[in-house]
Amino acid sequence: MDINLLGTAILFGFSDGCIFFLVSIGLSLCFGVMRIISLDQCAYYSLGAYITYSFTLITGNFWLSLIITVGLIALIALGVEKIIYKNIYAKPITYTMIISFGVLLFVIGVIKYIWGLSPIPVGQPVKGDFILFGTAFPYYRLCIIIATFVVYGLIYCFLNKTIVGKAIRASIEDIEKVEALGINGYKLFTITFVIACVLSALGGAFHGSLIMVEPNMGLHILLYMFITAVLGGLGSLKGTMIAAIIIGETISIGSIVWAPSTIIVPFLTFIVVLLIKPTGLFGSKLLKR
Amino acid sequence: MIRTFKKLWQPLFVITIVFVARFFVPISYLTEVIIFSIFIMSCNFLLGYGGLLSFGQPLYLGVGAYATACYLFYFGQNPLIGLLMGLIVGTIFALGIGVIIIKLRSDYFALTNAAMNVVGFFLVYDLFSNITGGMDGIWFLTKMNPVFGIDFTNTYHFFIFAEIVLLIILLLTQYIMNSMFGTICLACISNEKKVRFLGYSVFKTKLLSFIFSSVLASLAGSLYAIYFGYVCPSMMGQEKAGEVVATTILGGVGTLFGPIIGAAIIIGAKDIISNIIQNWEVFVGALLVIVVLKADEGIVGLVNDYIKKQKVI
Repeated sequence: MDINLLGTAILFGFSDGCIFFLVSIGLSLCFGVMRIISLDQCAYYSLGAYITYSFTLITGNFWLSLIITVGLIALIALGVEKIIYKNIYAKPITYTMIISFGVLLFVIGVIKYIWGLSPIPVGQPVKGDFILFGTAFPYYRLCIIIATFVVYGLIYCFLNKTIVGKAIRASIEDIEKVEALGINGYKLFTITFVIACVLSALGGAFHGSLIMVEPNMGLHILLYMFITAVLGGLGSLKGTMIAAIIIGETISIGSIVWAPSTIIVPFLTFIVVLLIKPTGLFGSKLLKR
Repeated sequence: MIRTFKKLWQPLFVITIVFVARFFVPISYLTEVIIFSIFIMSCNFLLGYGGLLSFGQPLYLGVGAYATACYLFYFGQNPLIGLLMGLIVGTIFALGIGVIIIKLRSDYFALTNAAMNVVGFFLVYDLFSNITGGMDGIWFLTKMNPVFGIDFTNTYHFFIFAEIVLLIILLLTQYIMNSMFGTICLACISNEKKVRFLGYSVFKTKLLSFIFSSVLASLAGSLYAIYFGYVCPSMMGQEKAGEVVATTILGGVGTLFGPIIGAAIIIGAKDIISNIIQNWEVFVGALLVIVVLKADEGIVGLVNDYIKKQKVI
């Protein structure tokens, strides 16, 4: 095994892990606050990738289209939350899974209708690479890592320093006591859902340049997203970050050791973690029903 | 005699409708509806009586289909023995998997099944492709001998055979639903702790429901294999899981009629809609959302509500 190849794999795994973090933190927060499994985060991930691609073609500037994408996805998420999710907060968790899977399938169908069925290669906004530990590392992946850490810092400040963030952290533990303090629980749900979808869209926009965008990309990332969220602990910010890095590195290093391990290793990790510690690495015991 | 008829009217009604419909709709459509409804019955039983949602039912379909296909391709020529092999392999597989994953929480269970579906697809498509033929699959239509005068390659003979299998499965499912086991299953869904206090083992009940539903799915897989004479990995692709769940909920979870009604509608709609629009997922996704929001119990539930309203009036 070439040591340069290992170095490349580790660095690439780090950036892949950052993408997984952006997509999984939405699922984790949604479950923690609202106790719903929002599988349609994958739908906003694919929509983010496609909308960013289209607006980059129109405006020619990646960062401008990123801001437009964030705005559009926030509006769509607001609509979905008000129309669909408001009615199902009280239902058992299997129904929320089925509904969110239905939304995911619907969005995949809409993507196929608007953008067609074939995979589209997307150009990277930041070109060129630099030499690190003897391997060529693209600037774009470094951008992704920096952006992810900035997002992590922003979410950390939001959750720990603002009143809304503290209310969200409290509602992860006990929503009834938060409502007893006079804070509107449904508004918190809406805010959490919109933030989750925006983060997934960011993940999708960044990931689109690394892989070709295709209609089924949401389904491909669904399992990795869920495995990362569960491994880290549903509702935990730090846990999701660490779990995402672990999963990203495992897939990346595994792919140069033995090709089938990209699918088998995360799945085995998932089963082992679920059987030994169902709340994940950093999840709180309160989240185990 | 009247009491027996009253107990058995539901399966006999279904069989009569299917037999009579033969004169109005194409036989190939009916055969596919029959096999698909056996597959839906597995998801229906798992969701309605086991209380477990699974996004990976195509895995068990593939297990049954590939077991039958490998037997008929490598070993023998008797399709009935192939069917039996599919059932046996399905049971052992379900027993092995079920013991590990039954204890998981409902959402973890669903996505673990989905993950296993992906892994199974990958194993069949890539890792074991020298046995299973990889992406091309196995073709064995000419290798099946007629048994007891039934020629399985003849459409009409196979339709009668499938109907007999459907009748047996309907009777069996109705018997299980009305038995003590079925009642305990429903009790487990409502309140597990009370069932434990009554002395029954929740784990064993759920395991048995899971094995029964997986055996049904493997039976459907074997029937698909014999019907087409051909298996390929796309039968157990993960994208089929959404259709299965949608059809189950549309028909009505936990009912006897639900799977058949759901299967008839979905396969009919697939044919009609595929000619108009290309993306089938829009329909399935919208159907899932609307049915769960508005009609929780599916079509059978709507009909039951309507009948109750008539009785009150």
